Amino acid sequence: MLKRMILHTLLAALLVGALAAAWQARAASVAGAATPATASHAG
Amino acid sequence: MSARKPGAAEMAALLAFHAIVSGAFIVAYLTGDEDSYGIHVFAGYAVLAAILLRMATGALAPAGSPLRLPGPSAGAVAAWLRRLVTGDAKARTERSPLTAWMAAALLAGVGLAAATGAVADFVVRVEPLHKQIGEASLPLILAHVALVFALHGLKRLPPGLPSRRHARRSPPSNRALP
Repeated sequence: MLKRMILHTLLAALLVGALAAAWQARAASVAGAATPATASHAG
Repeated sequence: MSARKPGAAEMAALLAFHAIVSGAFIVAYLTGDEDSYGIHVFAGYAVLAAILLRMATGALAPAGSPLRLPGPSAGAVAAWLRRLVTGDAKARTERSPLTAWMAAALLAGVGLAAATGAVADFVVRVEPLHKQIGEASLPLILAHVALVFALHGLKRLPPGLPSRRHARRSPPSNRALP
């Protein structure tokens, strides 16, 4: 039982970490797509 | 404390809740600098959502359900400790009332850390408070881990093991000679 809970915790940490990293990468790419347009407009 | 043992679905729900809260807390605790702020926010909201769902489930669950929120009782802890000290073997194997106190402290501490984090997402002034509560949550979680291992160790003690107090009180004729 104890081993199962520790294993589930680590698996959940990996899953949440992967989802969170994907979410951050998507947010960064959306922001990145918006930045050059602004930069070129300004430049 | 719950009146009955959890069924398969209830156990799965409790395990999933524990896994998501602990897993997401680990991710949130290890991130939060400029490079990983998005990961920190995502994991923090996952913790908050899991705790809110747990609170709602606990409030709606019928009396006697294992999904009810823990009800810490000082009297239950005192009685359990008394039985433990007097060498009651069943006190070592059954669920300790200390776990209800620990669960309540964890729900409050980690819940507060997640809630202040969500507020700090919109109100920057709350950020220092969120950081302090987040840092204070780690010793709480380490205490939880220590308690789990200590109770697990108690369960593994041989059932016939008398308490030290009993061993001291027993008459000399009952003691093993070297």
